[in-house]
Amino acid sequence: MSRFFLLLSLSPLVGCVNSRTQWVEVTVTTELIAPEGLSAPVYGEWNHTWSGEGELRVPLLPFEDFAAEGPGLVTTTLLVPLDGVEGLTLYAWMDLDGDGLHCAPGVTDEPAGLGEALPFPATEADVTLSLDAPCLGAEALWDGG
Amino acid sequence: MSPLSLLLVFAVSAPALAERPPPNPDPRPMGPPDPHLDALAGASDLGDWAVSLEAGFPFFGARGQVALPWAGLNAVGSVNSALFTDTWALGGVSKRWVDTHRVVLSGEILVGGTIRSGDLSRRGPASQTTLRLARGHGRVVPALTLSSRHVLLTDVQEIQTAEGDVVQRSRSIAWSPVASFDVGVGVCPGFAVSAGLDVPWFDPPGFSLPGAHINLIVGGWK
Amino acid sequence: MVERMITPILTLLLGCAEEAPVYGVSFGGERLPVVDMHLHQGEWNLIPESTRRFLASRFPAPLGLIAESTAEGSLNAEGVLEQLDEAGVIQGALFAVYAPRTVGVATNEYVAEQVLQDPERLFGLGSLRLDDWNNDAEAQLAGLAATLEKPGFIGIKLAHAHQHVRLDDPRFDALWSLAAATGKPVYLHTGSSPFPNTAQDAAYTDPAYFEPIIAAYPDAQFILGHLGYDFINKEVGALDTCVELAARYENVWLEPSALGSAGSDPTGANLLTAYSAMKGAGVIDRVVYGSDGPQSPGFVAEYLERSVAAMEGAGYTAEEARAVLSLNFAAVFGVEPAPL
Repeated sequence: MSRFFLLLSLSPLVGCVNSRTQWVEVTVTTELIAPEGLSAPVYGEWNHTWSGEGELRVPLLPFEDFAAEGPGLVTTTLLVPLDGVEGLTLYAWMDLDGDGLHCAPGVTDEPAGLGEALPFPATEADVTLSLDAPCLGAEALWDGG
Repeated sequence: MSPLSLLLVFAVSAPALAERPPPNPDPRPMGPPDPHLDALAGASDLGDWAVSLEAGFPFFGARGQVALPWAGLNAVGSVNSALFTDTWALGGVSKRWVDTHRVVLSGEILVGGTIRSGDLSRRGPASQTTLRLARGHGRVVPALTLSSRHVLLTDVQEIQTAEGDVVQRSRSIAWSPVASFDVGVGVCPGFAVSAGLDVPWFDPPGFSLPGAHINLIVGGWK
Repeated sequence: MVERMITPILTLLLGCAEEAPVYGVSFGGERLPVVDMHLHQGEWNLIPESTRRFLASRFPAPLGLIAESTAEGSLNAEGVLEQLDEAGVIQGALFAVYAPRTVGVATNEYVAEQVLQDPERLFGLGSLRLDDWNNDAEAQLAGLAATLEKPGFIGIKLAHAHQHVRLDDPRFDALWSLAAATGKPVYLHTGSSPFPNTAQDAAYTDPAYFEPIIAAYPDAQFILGHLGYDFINKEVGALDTCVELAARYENVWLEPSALGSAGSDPTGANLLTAYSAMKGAGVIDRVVYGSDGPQSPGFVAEYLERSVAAMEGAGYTAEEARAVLSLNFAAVFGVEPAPL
């Protein structure tokens, strides 16, 4: 009998899932628009548009790098978590001097842009990014959403 | 666990109870039970039981064992918690492998589950394998315990894709061994106390603080 | 309930005994007062979940299991003062922080309350949110200005990498002007950071990006925290840049906190290199001591010990050590020199 009750008492614990999270696999078509005549590799980050709650609620939390060979259409497939975050926003900049740095000291012309992918959450989304703001970080381009 | 599986458990248990084998020969001289030896050695003699209550840093817990009438086995139940945050509820069997007048060596296999709350939360089915070495049949019993604890962590990702919803599971095993050294003292027949040091290793390879505890042990005849 | 039980148990186990604090450190045969300009406090639930997990995993187990009570025991003014007493540090400055993506939020109001717990020994550095600056700059500046008028507030704390703001961001002229007008120095985190979600790119961590602002605001005082240390790779990082900026600009001060901890610089070699570089560049008169405590029990004392050893190793005189440990703090923040 003791074995019976032992198994009975332990049964609710066995088979527990440690964590359960929700994700969406989204294919984003990005149109990168550069100032006329400029063409160079583009780098940046995918951001959660919002994250956190209360005093910790904050825009633009980067979670994945972005890279493209140059302006034009780029298709990216991302696995995006949905728990505790909202929205999908791309920040990117053009590496005109090829140094891998966005506007290293003394450089003043590498353009950047910010755009929100819509609709989201969804399995397909689009974003248009105009790279027209030299040397600004994502935070400087954020206008409140 | 479904009602059907509970019935199956009972059905498996019932014939075993009916077909009780002859008592295991007791190598120890007859006399009052040594609950401290039994508890620290991890297994009681046929006809005996022991319960210990533990308090200290970081562990608090309760453990009970009762001798079963088969193959020298004991049924064991244990609930143990580190700082009331990392709690393991386990049940299983133990057995004395070596039992002389000077040394008792036992092994123990428990299964169950663990739940850890707080910022390092985790949960899952768990197991614990323990070796206990106790010296003595006297009033004072030193004992060394080595436990290897494992928890199976299953993380589920529910993914919306263009082709439909997909569920992905990833599994990993976390290990947290504990070593303890105890000295138990029989206070009176059926009652004992022990004090000991713990060397836990919560999330290897990180450093863990050592701990200490006291046990109250009671035991006797069924 | 659990915490109340654990503290006496820990005390019993560790054999802690109350002793009257002895302030100051011995250096070159002299007793020198010590001020720690870099201390944190706050509330556990205002730290983002990923950072709470990171911090809990770095506490010695099993204290990480009760990370909230472990942290809050040392993160309020009482806990900070205990650590200062243990270290022999007479005064300290508490930082307000607004970095909700990374290390969390310790509000100006909370710091003001903590400073009032012991106004003779505690100062405050105010801060402000930068994450929606295009929309709320005026409100943030007004809040900071009001904070700086409160008793005990002597400076401004910023952390570009934690707050996700480029060091060369051109939008903060009003902030630098406020610092210059009020005479409140600006403390800047420089270098990388081990905390989750930190902006690690050079534009957020390398003080070279900040040089145009240093040059444009000669009346504002800037303290380069951590000397540009690379906490990820445990290397000196932008040390040379920091030292060069201090050598070139009179309004640049240096603060060697955290980089020399047992975790970030196990052998102490990098802290020795840093103190040697500052002495070699002739900028000791603008080095301000800080620890970045309390972090964990005993950290403030241990960091002071390691720093004193590094200064001794680098050949500092007692007067140079006195400047680093207390006098430069008084000079940059415009307060009375600390008593022994």
